[in-house]
Amino acid sequence: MNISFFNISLLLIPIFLLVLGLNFFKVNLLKRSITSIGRMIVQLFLVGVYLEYIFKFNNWAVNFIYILIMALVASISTIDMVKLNYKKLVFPLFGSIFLSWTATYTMYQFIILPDISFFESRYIIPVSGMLLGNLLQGQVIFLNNFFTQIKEGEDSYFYLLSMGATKFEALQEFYRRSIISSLQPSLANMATIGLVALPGMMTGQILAGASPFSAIKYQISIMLAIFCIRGLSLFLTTFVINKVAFDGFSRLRKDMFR
Amino acid sequence: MIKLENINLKLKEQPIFINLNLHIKKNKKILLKMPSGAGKSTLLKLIMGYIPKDSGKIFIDGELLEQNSVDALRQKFAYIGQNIFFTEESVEKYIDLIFSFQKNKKINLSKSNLYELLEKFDLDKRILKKSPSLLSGGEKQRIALILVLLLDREIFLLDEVTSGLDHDLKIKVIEIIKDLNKTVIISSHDNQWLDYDEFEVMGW
Repeated sequence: MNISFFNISLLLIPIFLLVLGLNFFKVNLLKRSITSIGRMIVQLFLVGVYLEYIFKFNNWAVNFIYILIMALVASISTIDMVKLNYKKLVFPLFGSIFLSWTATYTMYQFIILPDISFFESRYIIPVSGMLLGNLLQGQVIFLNNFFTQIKEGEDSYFYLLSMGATKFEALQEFYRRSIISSLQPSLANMATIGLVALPGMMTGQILAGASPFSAIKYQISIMLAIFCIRGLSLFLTTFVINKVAFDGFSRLRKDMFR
Repeated sequence: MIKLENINLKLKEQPIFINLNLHIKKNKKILLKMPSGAGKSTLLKLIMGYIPKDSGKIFIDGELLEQNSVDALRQKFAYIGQNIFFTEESVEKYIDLIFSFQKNKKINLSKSNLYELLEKFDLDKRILKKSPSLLSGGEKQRIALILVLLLDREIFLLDEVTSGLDHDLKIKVIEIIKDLNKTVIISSHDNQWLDYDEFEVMGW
């Protein structure tokens, strides 16, 4: 059934009362709640409007540009959240993200959606959105972890270099730990999925009238694709770091950070 | 032989070295004994090419330290910094890791040699099975030294390697280092080094 905007706005009333009630605990979140809720509504409204058009056009070039923009935004957001140098990293990281998407989505499309054309908006846009959103989370954890570790463990890194390690050999343990911590949430998520909350995509499909069984098949396939893109992007980003973040003396470039 | 020519370096706007010239001959043992913040650790890292200098030149055995030579030159050195931690599940595995590096594959790790060194440094064999995270600072320093000795490099750069040791152990380690037939540069606050004529005190 179609939800009316009037009914949605009714939901805001109890939320408003609740936020006011939180003052009882000296929690003043009124301003932040208003901006956050406001942003959510505006952003989703815009997404709704342009997706309407994108789905109506269903033009491969438009969809492709949309993906490029999503990948670029993912690259910029990663750099932003880890507080790295935009200039040095934005394109290499974009490359890593875009390649990961290309490989994963191509595979997904051929195996799971063979009857649907590659750039079909209804599939490529939401699936890529989920893939890239998860990839973004994985990249942020990975890069954050890696750079924190290498800054703290610089002496250990130098010790290994002097003990004959190549740059890659000396960094291997740093990479190993960062990769594990980056994949951990994804693994935990898969292990507990469905136990309490139903995953969002599945819920959406069921609300929209799909059979639960058809919904779980999509969910399983997308979870696997997410794991795939997270892992692959870590591989590629490792190459990026090896190339970009270290100078000819194998030392971490100080201008990697903001 | 290590030669530093007109080294200038500022860190966070603070001048650390102003036209520093140093000449360290082969098999000399140099003790850098200066107050904290004078740049002792920085000098060792500079020689290893671990931090960039603003200007000046560094020569190792007559060869200029630069991008193309740094990998080969680093193989002459053993460097032990102040805040090292070991990875892997056990000390033994960490030692295996170091000997698994491409450049070290040729070197044979002799167990008897290792055990001998452990004893010399007053460490029990059982430490090999210990997790590196359970080692004390002094144990780590001695394991790091043992590894460096096993690799048998020409030049040792040792940054505060006796700081975590008690008096007797400090003496023990200093006496081992004093008898080495190597070029050694030591940065340390410990006064025990001064009791040995083998170490030449240097500063700037």
